[in-house]
Amino acid sequence: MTKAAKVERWAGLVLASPALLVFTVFMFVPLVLTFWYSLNSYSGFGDLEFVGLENYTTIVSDSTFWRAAINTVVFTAVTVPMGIALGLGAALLVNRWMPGRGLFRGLFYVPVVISGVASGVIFLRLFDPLVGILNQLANSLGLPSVDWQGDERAAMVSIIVVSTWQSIGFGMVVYLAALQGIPREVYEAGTVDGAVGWKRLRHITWPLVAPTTFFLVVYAIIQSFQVFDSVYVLTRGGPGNATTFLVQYAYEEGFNQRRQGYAAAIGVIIYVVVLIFTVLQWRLSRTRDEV
Amino acid sequence: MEPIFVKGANVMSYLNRRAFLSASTAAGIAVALSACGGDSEEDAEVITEGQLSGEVTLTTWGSDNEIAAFEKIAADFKTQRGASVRVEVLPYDQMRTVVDRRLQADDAPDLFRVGYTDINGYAKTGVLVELTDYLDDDFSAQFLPGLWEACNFEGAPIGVPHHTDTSALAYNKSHFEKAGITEVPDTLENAWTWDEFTDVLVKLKEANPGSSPFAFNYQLFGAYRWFNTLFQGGGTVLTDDFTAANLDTPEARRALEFTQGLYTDGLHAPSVLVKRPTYPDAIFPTEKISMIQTGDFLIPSLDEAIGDKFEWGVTYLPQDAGQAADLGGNAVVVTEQAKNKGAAIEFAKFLVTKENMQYFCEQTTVLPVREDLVEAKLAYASRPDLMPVFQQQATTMPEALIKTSVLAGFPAINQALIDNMDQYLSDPAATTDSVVQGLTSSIENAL
Repeated sequence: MTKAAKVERWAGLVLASPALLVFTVFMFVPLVLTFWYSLNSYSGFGDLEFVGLENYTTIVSDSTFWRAAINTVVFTAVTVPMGIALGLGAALLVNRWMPGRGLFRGLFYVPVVISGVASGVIFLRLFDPLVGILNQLANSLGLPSVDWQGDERAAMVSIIVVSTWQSIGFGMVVYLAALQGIPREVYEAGTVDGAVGWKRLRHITWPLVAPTTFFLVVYAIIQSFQVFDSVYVLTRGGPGNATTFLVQYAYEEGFNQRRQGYAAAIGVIIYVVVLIFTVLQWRLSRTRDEV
Repeated sequence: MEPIFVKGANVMSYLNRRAFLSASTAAGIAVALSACGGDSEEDAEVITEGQLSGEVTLTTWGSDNEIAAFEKIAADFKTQRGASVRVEVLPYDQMRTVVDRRLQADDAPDLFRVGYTDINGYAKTGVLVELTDYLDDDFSAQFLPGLWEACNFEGAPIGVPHHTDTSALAYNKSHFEKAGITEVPDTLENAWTWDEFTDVLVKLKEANPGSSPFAFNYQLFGAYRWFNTLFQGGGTVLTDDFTAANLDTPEARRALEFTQGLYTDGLHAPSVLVKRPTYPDAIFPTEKISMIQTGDFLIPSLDEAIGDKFEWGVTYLPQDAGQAADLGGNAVVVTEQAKNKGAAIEFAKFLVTKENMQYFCEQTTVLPVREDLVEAKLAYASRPDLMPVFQQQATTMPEALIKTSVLAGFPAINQALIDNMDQYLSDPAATTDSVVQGLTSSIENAL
């Protein structure tokens, strides 16, 4: 190895070390610890008791875990397409010239930068069944109240509304970049061939933003599996377990039930599921790049 | 193990409460806890009077009145003993999670406030200072034996009892007038039966459209307050030897169905469930609920929020096979991780002197736990006219419920209620069989 190569190697290590340090402290060490905790019975303080795979075998027969898993899948199946469609719609809207375009772009993006807890609190004011704005408005119009926290479906709808509202802005920004990367000539050629309006969207725009859509779908699935903050504020997983999702359930077990080993096992399972989607995204996007 | 009945108690009677807490509870809890063994050391080193230094942190939740009272006592401590006390305030429903995480991170506060229902859950993990060596021999004799025993684990004191409290019914007088209800029970023995109570709620519902007739106060860490209803119906949580769940009984099923019926018949605020921090006392001032089950410690905040909007009063909890009320109240504990243990222990003792306990109780409308305050007439700062009802109601805490409430596994029993009752009450299709099965299985895991 030449001296220059050695210097370059050291420079690389030095430059990468801050990121490596951060990832080690906040990612790799917690990951290893989480896996270790998942093999133990641990209340959070006091002694750990090694139980092997018992936490995992308990999970298999834990009906609440499966309910949380089903809820998470249903939530994902609804919010991901909605977020994609509305994100693309918002991007198409603000991609063309219109009065106050910058303002609209900003407004669509605001929910992304508001913390999930703050969003939850805002929507709590809207959805509160007794003193919330939505029900007061409905009552003043002679419509019946909706029990947003006591009714299973209504509670799930409220979570889906908040999560979709939060995700539109990110989709919009990513789609906007993709839309602006489509050459004007393609649209012009399409117009000559009669591709206008809906046909233009279906036959030109949609295929050309497909890689972006793919990225957003995988990203949104990963995000959906990690939904927590708005649920914690709005419903706490209730009524019953109607809006209990996997991360929410892990939190309940770890911090309220003082079963951190069990919560860690749930965390490991979520990690594996998200990892599968991440690898899938990585492999497929690499294939696309090569093509 | 029968619920405590107080017959003929038609005047404010601290004696009933004293007799109850001193005798039956003491015996019961002592038996429950002494089973774990362990004797306190007789020749404990006692920290003597003297100037202290540094700062200690007391972590607590609390109403404005409670925090102001803690701050005032902390300032007096600084003046008299020299050490500062920083009062750190957390939201009630975050208290346990935050304290747990600090203990986990080896960064615990020097002292924290903890409910009698939670104290032994901490004690069993060894994170609390055993106070035997730091208390005078006659220290324990100052307190009501029942509450003192609640602060002992394996025979050794691990905290100081600070106050007690319980629940009663607060009602909106104008809603009652609209419903044509002109009288409420004025003595314990006249408390509504469940049937009478249901009739009252039906009338309230008809007369006050747009408002829910009633809401229980059994949310999150207070979920165990549902046991009031269970014991009123003649049920118990655990078997006589406290080793197994006892909910597959006709009494428990009846209590469950009575509670669920209030929801399915539209007599209970539907969104006020068990799992969410939607507390009835926050809604009552808006007149969206006509009557709530609530704790005496909420009188100041209710009084302030309601102001002149409407008149309200309190009456006794309903009864069925018997009467029952929950063991409320809190102790103060010192952590093993305390950086200034000496000052922390001295402040814990300072909080429960006669003068300071009296001040705290008067300012925050809670009940004292010192023998020398039991019969004292306290000058409660808010609505002193309401306190006799709570004082009377406190005499109906069933012995078996108190013994259950201070078990080390009780936090997990409370969590079992949160997990199972929310589903049962919110889903009209949920069966009593399934909730009995769920509760039994969860509680037996907790024991």
